[in-house]
Amino acid sequence: MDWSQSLRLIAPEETLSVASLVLLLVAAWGGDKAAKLISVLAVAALVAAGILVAPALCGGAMGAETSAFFGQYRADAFASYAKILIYISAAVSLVVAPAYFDRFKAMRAEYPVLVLLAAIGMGMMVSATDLLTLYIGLEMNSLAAYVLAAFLRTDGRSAEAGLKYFVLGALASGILLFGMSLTYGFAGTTSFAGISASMAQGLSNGALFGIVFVFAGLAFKISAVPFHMWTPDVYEGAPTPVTTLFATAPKVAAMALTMRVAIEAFGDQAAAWQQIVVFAALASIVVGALGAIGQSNIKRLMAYSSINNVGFMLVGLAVATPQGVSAMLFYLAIYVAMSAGGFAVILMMKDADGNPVEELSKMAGLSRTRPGLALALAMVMFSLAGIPPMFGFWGKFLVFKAAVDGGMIALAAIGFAASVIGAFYYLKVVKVVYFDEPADVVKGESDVWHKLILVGSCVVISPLGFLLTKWLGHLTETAAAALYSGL
Amino acid sequence: MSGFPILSLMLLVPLAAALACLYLDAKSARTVALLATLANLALGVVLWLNFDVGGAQWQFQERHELFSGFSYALGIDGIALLLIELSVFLMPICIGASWNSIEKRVGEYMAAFLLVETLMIGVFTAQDIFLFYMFFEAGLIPMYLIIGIWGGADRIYASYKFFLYTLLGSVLMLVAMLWMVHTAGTTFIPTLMTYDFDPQVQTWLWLAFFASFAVKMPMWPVHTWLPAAHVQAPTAGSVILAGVLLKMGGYGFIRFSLPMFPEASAYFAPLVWGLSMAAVVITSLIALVQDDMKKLIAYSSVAHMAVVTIGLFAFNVQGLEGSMLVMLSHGLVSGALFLCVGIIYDRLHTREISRYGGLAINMPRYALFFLLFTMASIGLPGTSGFVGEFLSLGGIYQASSWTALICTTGIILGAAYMLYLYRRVVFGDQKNADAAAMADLDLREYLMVIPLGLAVLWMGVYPESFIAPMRADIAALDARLARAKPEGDAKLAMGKEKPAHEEAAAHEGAH
Amino acid sequence: MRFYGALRKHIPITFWTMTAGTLAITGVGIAGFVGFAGFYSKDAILEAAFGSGTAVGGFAFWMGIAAALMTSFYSWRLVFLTFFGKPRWIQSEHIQHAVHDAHGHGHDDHAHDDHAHEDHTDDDHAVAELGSRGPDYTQHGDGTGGYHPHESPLVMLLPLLILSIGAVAAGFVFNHAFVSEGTGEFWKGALVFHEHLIHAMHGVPTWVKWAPFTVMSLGLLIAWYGYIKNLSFPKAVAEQLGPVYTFVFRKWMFDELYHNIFVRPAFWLGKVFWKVLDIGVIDKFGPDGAAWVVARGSTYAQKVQSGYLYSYALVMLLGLVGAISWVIAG
Repeated sequence: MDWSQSLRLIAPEETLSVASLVLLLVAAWGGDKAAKLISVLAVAALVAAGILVAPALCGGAMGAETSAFFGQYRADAFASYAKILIYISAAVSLVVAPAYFDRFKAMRAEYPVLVLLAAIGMGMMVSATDLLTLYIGLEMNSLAAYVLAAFLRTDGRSAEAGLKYFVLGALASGILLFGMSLTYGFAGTTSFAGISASMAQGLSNGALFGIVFVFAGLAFKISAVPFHMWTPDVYEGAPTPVTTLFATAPKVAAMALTMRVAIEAFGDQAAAWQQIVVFAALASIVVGALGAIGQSNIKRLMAYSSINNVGFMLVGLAVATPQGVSAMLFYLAIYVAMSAGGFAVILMMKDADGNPVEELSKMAGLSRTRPGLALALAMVMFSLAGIPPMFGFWGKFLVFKAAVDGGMIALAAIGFAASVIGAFYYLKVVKVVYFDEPADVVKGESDVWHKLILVGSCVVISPLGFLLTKWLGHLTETAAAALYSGL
Repeated sequence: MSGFPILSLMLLVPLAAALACLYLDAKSARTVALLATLANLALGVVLWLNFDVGGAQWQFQERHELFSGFSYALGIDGIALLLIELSVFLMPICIGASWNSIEKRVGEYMAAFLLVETLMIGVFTAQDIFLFYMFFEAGLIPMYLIIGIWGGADRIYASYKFFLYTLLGSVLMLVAMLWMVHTAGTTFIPTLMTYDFDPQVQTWLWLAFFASFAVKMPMWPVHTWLPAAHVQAPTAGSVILAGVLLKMGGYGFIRFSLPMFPEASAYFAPLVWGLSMAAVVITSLIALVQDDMKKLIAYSSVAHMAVVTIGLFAFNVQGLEGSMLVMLSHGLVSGALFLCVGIIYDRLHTREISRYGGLAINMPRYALFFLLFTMASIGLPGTSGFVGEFLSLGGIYQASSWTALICTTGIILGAAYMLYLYRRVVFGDQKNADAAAMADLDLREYLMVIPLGLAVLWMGVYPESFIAPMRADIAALDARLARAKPEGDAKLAMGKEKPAHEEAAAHEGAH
Repeated sequence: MRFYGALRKHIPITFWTMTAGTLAITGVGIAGFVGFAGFYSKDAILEAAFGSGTAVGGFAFWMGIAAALMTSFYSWRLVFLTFFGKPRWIQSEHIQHAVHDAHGHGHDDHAHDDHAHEDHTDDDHAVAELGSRGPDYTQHGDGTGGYHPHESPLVMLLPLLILSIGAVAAGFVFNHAFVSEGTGEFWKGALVFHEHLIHAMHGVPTWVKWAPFTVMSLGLLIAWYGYIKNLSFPKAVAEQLGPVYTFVFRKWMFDELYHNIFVRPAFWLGKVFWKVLDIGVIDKFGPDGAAWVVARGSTYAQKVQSGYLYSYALVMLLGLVGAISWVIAG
């Protein structure tokens, strides 16, 4: 293990870091007028980073040669898979931003830079094989995210969202750090492999505390119940492109990170945390669904929907098998497509003055005035509800298949039954859009980028998405195998 | 015909037409929908003609491996064939029923209906268990939209109830399917049908499937979504709901529950009998007091479906064939009855029975067809209703004479509520001037009711046409069930013929 | 029938076919010689009942004789009331309407449209008057109200004629093949043919053979007396019988009995099953109940989501404490 190899392995992070620093300078000199150019360049940087990670994924990179900096970092197929999803999500949030911020004259040059910085942090999170790398990645992402949430400085809701996210995020970081120090104290090392080795002999109470605290800190990031409280407020308050980012990339990063910590560091002690994960999964499904039902704001509804979906993904984690991990990864990919599609629809709904329409009641009868948009929204909703033949069904199918194959039939049955509660509020959106008399609020032309994102994600979540299953299934299995090879 | 993917074509025609309808104006959407459904009907005829009765169990098979143990596998046996024929037969009639009565968003409506057709045929042709599930489940979406957009006043409640109720039933089934595939290592339905699951586990699997099919069927007491959905759905929606979608429950029993879990089926047979008995009596009585025509027929559907379930769980050929025939007959008859309601609803825009009366005077031809379908619903010999119900009840008598006794009251009660309905609507005085002014059937309506009437009579007079294709499949199923068959209480035995000389001796003795 | 009378001349073909049917159903015929269709069947049944020689057979025979008497009476009563006597159909509301309509049209022709409205009110009055004056109000005074029934169309007459041929001749033609001694061959086992019973039938005493004919004649005689000869006789009998008459007139109260035993409980049960069981129990504790629970849960979930940072932090910490306790306890 030499430095040159390590540096080669972190090439995507290097690319993004250099790009973000250069773009920061451009922003400093070019001002907000350069914002669009910077956005384009930032997307280019993300594409470049994506190209750099792709070989590791396609080649199924795993094992010792993917490990960099003396076991602190790993660039295996698992990390690559997550990174590609993260980069795509970040790119989406960049692409949809100008049309939204222009309306408020707030398209600032810092936005793309912050997104890039967040992407670096997320990339580090999914590659972390050491508690410290984990923490640095997580904080790097979080700090960028706090700023992004409050990006519309003049908007009270946005500022509130940023502040809430920051304070609660700090609390979660504290919990995470406390858990990490406990783990370090009892394991004597911060590397995942070391922790796993030291815990192989059995768990002391202190180490158990450590595990619980670490999971609690991570649960905040993936907004699993009961650490989900920030989600609706932040989703609603943050500017919609930022919400698009929050709903996708950090979810992927935190979920992948949680998987790696759970499997690589605490994998031998699965029995200790499985029950907590099962509880968090079911609680997230139920609370997410219940919370969503009463919502009148579609962004809040999407926030609860994300909590609900996280619950389903956690079912895959609770199984703690390669199949479960692979199912979760698959679910994440579909989830990214569904969220991107959903938020693209939200971005495209504007009233006659160009102000965003977020109230469900104002979307009434959308199918008469904007049939295409309504159809896309309906597809997203049915897909999120997991109704076949929408592709969202496949994600749920895989995690529950993993659960059944892993012998957790009760979990699968309860989880599936609870998904019916969730179906209710997705149906409610369809009802408002299709059954109700038109409110005729949504007007105006949509941005071409929004349309592109929407069409792209709708193709993925449509039944055509099933054509991807073979290829994507292979990738997720490779990635899951890579994760397990580190044991 | 071998090699030609006719089943795929039958899935594709309505699907393509559905997509086209989304972009067409009202007039052309109607035409396209009608042509597509007629084309599918023609394909259905071709399918039937080419079906080799007595040939291989599975015919017209297509199979393409898609991914991870999940394949696009189609194929039909006689049972599926008949249900497909029923679907393609009813579809043009549904389009016809919606011709004038649907005025808003016609393109979307036709698209939804054509999508329903694709999914129905998909359910009956799927040979991959997950493919089946996808078709089974996906049917909820267009039906939800049909009820919710084009339904009556209380359509929102009804559409939610329909969707969530049936969804809750089927998610449990999916878990069971996952387990089965995990254990048996295949998703191929014909293989699964011969796989022997551990009887202990069968209990759970059976219950999971039961949750889905019982709701879909619907069996008492999970039937309450049906009256709501039927009443609120537009006429054609009711026709297809009663005609085909309910049959998916019965098809599920006959395709999954019975052959895959014979022991569990036998174990739970008394439960099914009990629920069926309750359904027959309770829902028939409820039908008797309805003031809403559609609700009345909806409740009568529950009662008829109970006759299907007792036939299925009679564990003999008679019962199985009977329940299949009841399903087919009920598909035609209840569809026709909903159509009859729709015909007068289009004129007067009310389903209230008391708003009609004396229609025999101003609508004599309508009265004739309504009477035919009423009689078929009652199960008059010579109509389709009789054959199936007789066989079903005959079948269950061998297994449980009490069940047969109670369920037979359903026939009497059926006559009561149907004739009572008919008397109030068609006979009596012309109490309401607007009802008295309604015109008799027009050409479009003739074209809908005459084929239905002929089919009802055909099945009543010569049921062999419908029994022949499924005879071998039913026999195979019966053989499969033989090992778990519960001992009947009727203990039927062929009587011995009295020797001729004995009779003569008695005669002599009298002298 | 109360509104018929004297139809013999108006609808002669119907009259004659009806008479043929009545002759058949009352079993007119000469024992051992010839008769209408009903004669053969009725005689065969009664003789067989008697000839079986059992107590049950004897009972059946006497009941049969009684029934034959009554059949004869009511059948001839039907014929006499319908086809003989005086026309009474003006008393029927239905005919009154028909006559009135025809009358009204005539008015319209005369009055044209000057008095169209007035004419209409006149009509309304006319109906009222017609109703109040009752049977006495006739222009013709002969009970017809000027309304003259006509023969049925061919589509009705043809079946009538064919059937009356059967009524007259079917017994004579088929008697030998069906019930004669030694002709069990005809049935070829399709029916159980008791040769000895046929034998016994033919051996019954002569009075048994003549009994059906006698009671038939008796019934005919009573009907003739009551409905042709002495029209006040039936009324007197009915008054004499009082409650018995009412009881019988109301069909032994079977309709009421059935209504109370079957119909009303069925409707009551249906209502109970529907309102109480379906809506009140199944829906309430099933789907609607579940929806209610979910709605309440949703309300609570939103209450917890207060928007205050401290409550969010509290929930997080409570969750943490809960997880720790769970792990320690487990």
